[in-house]
Amino acid sequence: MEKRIFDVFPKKMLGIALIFSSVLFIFSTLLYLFTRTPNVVAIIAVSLITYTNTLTALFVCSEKLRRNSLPYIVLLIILVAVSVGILVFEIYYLLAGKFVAEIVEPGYAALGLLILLILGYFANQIVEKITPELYWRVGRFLGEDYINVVYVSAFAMIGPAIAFFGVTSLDPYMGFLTLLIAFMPIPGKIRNIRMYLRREEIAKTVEETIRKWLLSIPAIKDVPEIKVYSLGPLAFAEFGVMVSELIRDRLEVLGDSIRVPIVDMIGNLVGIHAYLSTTKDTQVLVGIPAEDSKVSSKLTGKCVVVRVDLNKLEVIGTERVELSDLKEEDEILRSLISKRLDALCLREVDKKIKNYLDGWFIVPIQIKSDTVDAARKELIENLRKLIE
Amino acid sequence: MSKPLISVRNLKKYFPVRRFLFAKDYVKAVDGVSFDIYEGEMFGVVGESGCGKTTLGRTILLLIPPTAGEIYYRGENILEYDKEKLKEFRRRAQIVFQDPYSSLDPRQTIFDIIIEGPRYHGIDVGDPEEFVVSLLRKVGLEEYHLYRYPHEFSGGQKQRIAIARALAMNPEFIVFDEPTSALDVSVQASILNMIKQLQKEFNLTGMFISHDLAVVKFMSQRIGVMYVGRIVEIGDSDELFKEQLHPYTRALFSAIPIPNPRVTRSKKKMIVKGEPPSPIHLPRGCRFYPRCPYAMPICRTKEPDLMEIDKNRHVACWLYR
Repeated sequence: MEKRIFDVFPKKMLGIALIFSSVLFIFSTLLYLFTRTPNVVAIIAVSLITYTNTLTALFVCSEKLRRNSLPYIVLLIILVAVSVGILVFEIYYLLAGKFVAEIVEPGYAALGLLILLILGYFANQIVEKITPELYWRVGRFLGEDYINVVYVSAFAMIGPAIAFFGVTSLDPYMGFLTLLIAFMPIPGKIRNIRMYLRREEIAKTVEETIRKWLLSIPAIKDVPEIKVYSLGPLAFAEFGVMVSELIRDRLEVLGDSIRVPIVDMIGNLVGIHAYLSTTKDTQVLVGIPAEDSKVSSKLTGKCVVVRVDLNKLEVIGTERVELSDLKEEDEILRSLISKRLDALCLREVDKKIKNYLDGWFIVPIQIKSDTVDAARKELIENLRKLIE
Repeated sequence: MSKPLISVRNLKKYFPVRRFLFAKDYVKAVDGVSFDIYEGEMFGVVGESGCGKTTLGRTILLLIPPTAGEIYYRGENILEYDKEKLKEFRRRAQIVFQDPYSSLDPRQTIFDIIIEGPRYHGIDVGDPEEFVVSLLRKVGLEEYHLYRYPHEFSGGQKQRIAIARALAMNPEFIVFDEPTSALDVSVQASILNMIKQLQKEFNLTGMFISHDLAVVKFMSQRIGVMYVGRIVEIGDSDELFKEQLHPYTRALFSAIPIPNPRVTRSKKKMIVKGEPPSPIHLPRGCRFYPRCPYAMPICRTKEPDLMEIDKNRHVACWLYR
């Protein structure tokens, strides 16, 4: 039996982010051509930068593109280089004194920058708010780029606003300051490019974290395959898990239970592609609370752990576990989880304990036997019913 | 059991905090709380400091507007009230604040403080002086206190005045927001006894907020336990003290000091690890799971609702689904 989980950051969101970036880029370019103020040049560069995070998410979400990351890194370098190029060129142009007295229509420039500020704000709010709650970190990551547009626009407005009231000579100098502010997000982007060089190392750490967490659930017998694709600060996880046949009816619940924590654990994870399959070719551990050779009616710190070959339905080993130093119910239950039990035999199944065991995908088996030997036989019969 | 006087459904109160420039985060002080308070009962609310008890009390009285949810008073949603009805509700629902030192106007005499409410609402009290004196006597003060100012009173006496001010409106529902926490222990007992006696005399319905479990047990018929903006367990006072179901309630109650070393030694203590989460960045799923000794994978995924598991017993925990 197999169950697939495919959960990806919604592409619609990326489309919306790309539209906002394009609107900001086109509008700021047109505004520059119309007003010729260096303040607007800064917004052109910053709006180009807003593409980078969205494109990163788009590449990671796409199965083909995340496997071959060369186009991504080339595109990222081009975008950052063009933005830096625009800024450097404009600073050079300013220093050469070519902008002086070139500003036209300062009122329209200030108004246009106000529109850019509002657009940037709405882009941030919409991208952050529409993002599904599961991927809120990615939503915030995408939205933060638009905040750069907001504060650079706010600063850029000062020069044209002053020029509107007649002091045109200040505009190019304010433009110089705006360009310097526009440089602020660039180091972060360069860090992301540098992160690319460490991506294998980062992905390995993430893979280990996911594997470790998955194997903390006793029902998960193996994680035969795990691959994390990491581009810049974003990642996509692909993995397969093998679970015992005992929980074949609960694959759906198990899928739900592992999907959300993994996205939360890894942070900027934009998606999961996983399959869960059941197997009989495994050994399962079944606990029987027992004092000496008598089965205890309730959960105690003393337990017999029976190892069963699920395929042949044979007991292949018995181990006595003493948890005498653990008196509290929660401590006993936690220690049973750490022993990686697949099932627990109980003569009286309390609702709370049943829910706890269900929650950890440990099968509670109600037995009637008084002795451990009889319980072992009864257990095999119960396991047969469960898997047939 | 009598009819619910106050019913709260999925009540939320979020306070915005600026992240940077325009972006906002929210402190989720009350986050999806539902419960009923029946006529003539005192409903206790306990929880550690900062869990949202006071915000809950003030939101129910609309002293601060809720972000979402419904508050029913005698079956009517008070959020849909017009101005007149809201004024009437404000008369019927009163609050006694935590700090008696700042809740009384220092420039008014006790007479003015107590009569201000009835005058504003146009309540016919007969002879105002006689009315105020009778109230002062009910809360253990005397006629000669009438024209004194708040600074002339001790903390306990100020709290008595605050209670008299609330009673002057002939309320049906009073929120007692930790009324004794600012007072010394010797005064606390007399104030609590007085509130209990007044509750019987006036057949008051109330909500008693405190972080002191012994006080809440003494005062309340039913108790709701709050943890980071949510009610995690509700039960009859005696039942709850006998057996706690939610792991947080167990931890909270096991922290009650017992003045007998033998009993303390034999008592099972449940100590939870870590600190409560930030009400801004709450964990997904159950907000107690990072500290819960019974945490299961589902607890990280879905937040459990308050489920009725027995008569008058509600618990929000996947262990009892």
